[in-house]
Amino acid sequence: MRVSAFFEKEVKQGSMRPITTDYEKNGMYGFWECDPELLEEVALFMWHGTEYFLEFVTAVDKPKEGIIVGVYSFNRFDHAHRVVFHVPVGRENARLPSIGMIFSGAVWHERETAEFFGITFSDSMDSRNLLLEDGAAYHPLRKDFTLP
Amino acid sequence: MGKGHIIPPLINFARLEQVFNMARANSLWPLTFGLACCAMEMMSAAGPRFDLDRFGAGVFRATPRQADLMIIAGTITRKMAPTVVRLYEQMPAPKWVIAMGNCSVSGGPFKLPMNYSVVEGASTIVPVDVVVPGCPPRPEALVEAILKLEAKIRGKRCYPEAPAPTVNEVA
Repeated sequence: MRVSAFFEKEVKQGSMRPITTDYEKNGMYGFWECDPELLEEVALFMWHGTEYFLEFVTAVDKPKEGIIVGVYSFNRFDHAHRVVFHVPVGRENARLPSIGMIFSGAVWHERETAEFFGITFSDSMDSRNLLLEDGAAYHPLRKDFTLP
Repeated sequence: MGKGHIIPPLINFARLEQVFNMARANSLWPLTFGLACCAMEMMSAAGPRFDLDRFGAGVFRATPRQADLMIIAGTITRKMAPTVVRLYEQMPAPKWVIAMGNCSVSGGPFKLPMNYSVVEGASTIVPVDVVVPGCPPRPEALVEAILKLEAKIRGKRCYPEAPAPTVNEVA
C-alpha cells in the first residue's frame, strides 16, 4: 500500500505534504513532510503495512526559519525504494515522539539526535547520551553552537 | 603534572627501596587497553619483532589490579575520560603512566578551536611520567619510552642510549 493511499485524509487536510523529488538524482522514491503528531502512525504504517526498515534518524537545523527538522529515512531490501519523512518542529523546546517501541533500532539514532540537536524524544526507552559525556548540556550540531 | 598524587610510604627503607625499584623497573606490567589507532603500534611493540618482553614489559595484564604501568595509547574523549581515571585509580601504587601519541600528549589533531569532545592531553586527568610524540609513534619510540621510564624508576639507565639518527634517516 502506498503512503498517499493510506494517509489520504491527512494529505487532504494538509498535515501530510508531498515534496517533489528526483529519483534519478537523490534515490528518494517518496519524500514527505508530516506533522509530529502523525509520526508514530507513519512508523506503524511502515512497520506493519510495508516491508520497509528504518535506515536512520537525524535532524537538520534551520535557524533562519526557526525550525528544526527531524529526518526519518526508510528503505527496503528487494527494491531501492527510499522513503524519507521530514518532521519540522519549533527550535525552542523541540520535541518529537519516540518510535523506539516500533523500530527498536531507532533508539540509538534518537539518542544521538537528542544530544547533538537538542531534540527531546518523549516516551523514549533510553534517554542517556550516546556519544557525548554524561550530563553534556550543549548541542554541537546546532548552527548557533558555541563552546561551553 | 596533572591532578592526583601517590601517598608516600609510612616508613622509608632507602636500600630496600633501591632493591625494590630495580625489580619494579625490570618487570613493568602494562595494563591491556587501547583507546585508538596508537594501540596497534603498542600491540606491534609487544609482538615478536620489537618484543617488549626483552625489557620485562611484555606482560600485559587484563586487570588494573595487577598492572603498574598504564600506556594511554590513543585519543581520550570526554566520554572515555572518567573510565581512564577510574582504571588509573584502581591500579595499586607505585604506578606509572606513559602518554603515547599526539592525542594523549596534547590533543593532537583534535586540538581545534571548536573541539567539544576530546580531552586535550592525558596530563589534564592523570599524572604522566613519559610522553611519546608521533602520530602514531613507531614501536621503537614506545620501547625507548619504557627504557626512559625504567631509568626514571631505577635512577640510572642500564641500556645504551639510542644512536643519534644519521642524515639519511632524518631526510
